[in-house]
Amino acid sequence: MFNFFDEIKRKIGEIDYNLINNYNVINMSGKLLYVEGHCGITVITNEMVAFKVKDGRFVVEGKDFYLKELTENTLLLQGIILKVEKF
Amino acid sequence: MKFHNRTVIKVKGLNQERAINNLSKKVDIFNFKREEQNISEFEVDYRKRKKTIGIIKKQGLEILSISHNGFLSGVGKLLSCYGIIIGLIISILFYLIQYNFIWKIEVWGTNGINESEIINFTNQNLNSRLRFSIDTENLEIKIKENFEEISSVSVAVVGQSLIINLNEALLPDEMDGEYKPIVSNFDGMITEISLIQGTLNVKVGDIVQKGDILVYPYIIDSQGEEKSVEPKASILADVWYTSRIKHYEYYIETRRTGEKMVNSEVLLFNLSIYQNNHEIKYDQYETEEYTEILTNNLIIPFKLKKTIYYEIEIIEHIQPFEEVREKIIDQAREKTLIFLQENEIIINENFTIKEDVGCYIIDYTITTNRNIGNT
Repeated sequence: MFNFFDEIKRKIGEIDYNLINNYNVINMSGKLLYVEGHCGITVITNEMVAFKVKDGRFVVEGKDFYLKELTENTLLLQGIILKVEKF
Repeated sequence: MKFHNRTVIKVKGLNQERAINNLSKKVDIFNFKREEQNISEFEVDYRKRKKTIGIIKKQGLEILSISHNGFLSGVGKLLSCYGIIIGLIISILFYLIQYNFIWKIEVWGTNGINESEIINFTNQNLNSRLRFSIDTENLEIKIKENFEEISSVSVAVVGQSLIINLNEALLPDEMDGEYKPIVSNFDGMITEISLIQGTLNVKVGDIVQKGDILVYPYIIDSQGEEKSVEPKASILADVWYTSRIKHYEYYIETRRTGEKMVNSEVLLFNLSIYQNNHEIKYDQYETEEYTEILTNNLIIPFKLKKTIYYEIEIIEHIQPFEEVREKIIDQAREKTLIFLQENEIIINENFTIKEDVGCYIIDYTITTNRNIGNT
């Protein structure tokens, strides 16, 4: 099956594939945030969502947050996304 | 009713992040919303609701409410409504039981026979109303024996109706005691009468018209009383057949040349939405118009309107009567001869010519002698 992320990764040949294969975070027009490969949510409020990834932690700030879908390793966050930071 | 079969769960408790992380490893979570610091609401698949509730309880959260959306939960709710289920079962049982009974008796093919008499008779002779215990053959025999005016009858159980289909016996007029008079079917003059039975209404030399009564269907007996009889008589009469032809010395005929043009138009609610019109190149033409519905099954009523323009030519005819006189008289004679029977003897024939406004009228009369009675 065609995978959008795999296609992008294939274009960057010189980087070790395993190094960029931990997680994917996609911000769609500041309204939707799609995450693949999260390791669990640490904070969830209407203004902030934080989640762990393999090598750190993400903090998403904004308002009217609403977790549209949550599975073992993916999440889809809906709301007004103002900032996405990695620590 | 939504087709997403979801269960909406509202929970209360601390450290909800840990709880939903653990839950998301087993069950997909949808539409998670944190309403307050320690209260949140989310949806899970309806089929995984029990598993979800178990996990949540293990995590030490308090469940505030559970509700269900979707088709499956609707069916589940319906099945838990015992009143409806019992009602349905009772309805089905009632239908199955009543289906075995005859509720209606229908009689087909009655004109002179009283339908209610047959229905009453059938009701009295039915052993029971159970469909399967009705002996239709026996019923047919009984009906036929009891009603003389029925020539044939068939009885059948159709659904919950008992259909009695019958043919009435046709009695001859003599048995009915009703006779019809002899009536003239021609215009003519009576020349000879030979009465067998009945009472005459005409005498030799009388002129009769079509529809006049010739012989009445009764006789007066020696006590002076009327007695019905079948009228019989041989009545010879000179019968006149007349045909008319009109001849115009001058007239104009319009004739189609065979050339035509078609303009079409598609209408929707009588508004034109498409036109295919050509310029009419004919000097003289006549039109025909028709409209047909383009679509039978669609709700939108498209109609096709066609206008056909036929080219015509105008021809003037001038024919003086004296030039064609004999020919016209022959045509009138031919037209009259059509009414005569084969080998019928012509007694006399004549014609009259009248001049009218712009035309001549030829009336041709042939006289024959014919029996206008019934023997």
